Amino acid sequence: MVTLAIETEALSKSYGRKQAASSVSFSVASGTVFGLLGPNGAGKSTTVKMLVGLVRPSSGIAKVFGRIPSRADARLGLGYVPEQFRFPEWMRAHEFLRFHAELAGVKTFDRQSEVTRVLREVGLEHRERDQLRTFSKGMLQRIGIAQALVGRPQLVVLDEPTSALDPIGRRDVRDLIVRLRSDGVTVLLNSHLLSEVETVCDHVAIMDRGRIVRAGSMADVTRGHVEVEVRCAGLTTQTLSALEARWTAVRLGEGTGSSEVQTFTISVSDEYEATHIADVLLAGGVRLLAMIPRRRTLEDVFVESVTTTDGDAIPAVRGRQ
Amino acid sequence: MNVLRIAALTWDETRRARALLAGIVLTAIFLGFFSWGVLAAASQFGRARPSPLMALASQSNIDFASIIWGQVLSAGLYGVAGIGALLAIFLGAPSIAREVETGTLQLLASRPIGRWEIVTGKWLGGCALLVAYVGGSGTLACASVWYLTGYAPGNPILVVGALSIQVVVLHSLTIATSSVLPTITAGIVPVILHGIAGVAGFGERIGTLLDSEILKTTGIAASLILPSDVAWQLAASQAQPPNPLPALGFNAPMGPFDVISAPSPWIAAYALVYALACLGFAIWRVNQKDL
Repeated sequence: MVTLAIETEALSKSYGRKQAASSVSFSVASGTVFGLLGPNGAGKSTTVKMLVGLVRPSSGIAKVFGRIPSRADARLGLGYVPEQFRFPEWMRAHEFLRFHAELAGVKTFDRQSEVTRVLREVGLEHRERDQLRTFSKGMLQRIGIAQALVGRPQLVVLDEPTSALDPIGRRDVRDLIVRLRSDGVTVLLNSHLLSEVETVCDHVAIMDRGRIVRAGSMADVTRGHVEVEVRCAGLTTQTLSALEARWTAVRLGEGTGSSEVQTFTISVSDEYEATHIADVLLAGGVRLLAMIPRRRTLEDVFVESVTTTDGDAIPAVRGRQ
Repeated sequence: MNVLRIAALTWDETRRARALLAGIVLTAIFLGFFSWGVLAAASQFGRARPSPLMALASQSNIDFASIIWGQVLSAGLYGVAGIGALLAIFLGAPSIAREVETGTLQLLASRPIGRWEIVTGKWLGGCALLVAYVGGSGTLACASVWYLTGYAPGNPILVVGALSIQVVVLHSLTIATSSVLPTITAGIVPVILHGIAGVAGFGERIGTLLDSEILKTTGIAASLILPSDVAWQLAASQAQPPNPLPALGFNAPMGPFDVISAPSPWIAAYALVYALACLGFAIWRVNQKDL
């Protein structure tokens, strides 16, 4: 039986007349990585804050390992990196982490080894004795992640954890998330970086204007039409007509310099259907040079799912369609 | 236990921000000037030509020196109380409001600790710092006057205790305002209220002299709304000898720091209940808050 790390049911939050989150329902299985996506103001941070007990829901239920997160004991196995917070820069790295280890309930004798462990996890073991005010923005973000890891939490909630990191730092965090998952830790990742989410998340939910507009496993969410790029030689009008009769979305590509070689793309429902393109081409005596199926990316799905406040597609996306 | 951790963090932050060092250095300078003034006054006192008032006091067996040194000590303690009051407000104003604004409180509140522990820890840490400050500097002021003039208040512990009540009341009020208002406003409100309480306290003393019920009632009402000035009056009344003038038929104060009629000791209990009520309000407010 799957243990649920997070469970929400019709979770809503309103600030006066503004509905920040509306009937948000999703669940996260223990030991998986879950990505929460959405444009600015979609209600992601409000949802995350309700899950870590910082914001009281107006209605609905949020549970973390079966317990209401506003209760202090429910947060015992929880590590959280807020999107924005000011570090106590007068502290040294080890003092900051030691303090959080105390609050997380790490026993006195284990605290030093725990501080050393989490510093190693984020690659800052050489800065243990340095004051936080001497740290760069990226290093502070790493320390923020380190504090979320003290006490070996069962659930780590990361709200935009890589916004200040360079590409290497981002890769390190991705690797860290994968390591956490392999250790059985559940990770809730709230990020604008879709490629990052696509790389590490098992499941995603896309929020827009306070609601979840799409959710499911990464494979389910990105499933759908597959664009197949075909390169062939000897394409006849007859074969082209046969293709167009079956798939309406045949688009001839630009010439390659050789009159023999043609490039075109066809939109099919799935990768299996793409094999039928090959059948039609071979039946027509066309020499097939290449067939490259391109799945939809998470970015494609995100863009389709999210609309602007006036209900239209995002202008930049409209231009691409 | 978490309350003590947060209290220790508050201590540590104040110490590391060099606020404690600055406070100690500046207070040492203040006490140095004060002691120098007491020394100068003590050396002048014996040589000064007796005034008619001194002659009258001498004829009436009144210890005129005790009255003078009681006033001098009260002047020093007035400085300590004034600095303590400002520190109580400066320490309290950002304690919750700024932490919410910067997101620091969010990080703490996501840990497995109750919000009441965070607020109580901050309150306790601040109160401990302030009591240590007024306790230390008040004791040094008393010791300085005693060493240089031989005058000591009847019960110096009560003097320091009353000063401590004042800073605890002001700090608690500021923590309460900090739980509902932005940082700057959270500091401005107690400063103005403390100023009003001080003026009302003067009004009450003038009302006693003039036997004006309206002024006395206004002063008492202000003491109940914010018992910070009345705590100072309690400290001043303990720092001075009993006023002998009414027995001679003069309903007059001994000097500018005489409180004329000493506040009831029950006001100390009221002030402590007031401080706890402010703390309770701050805890309730932070518990309700979406961070």
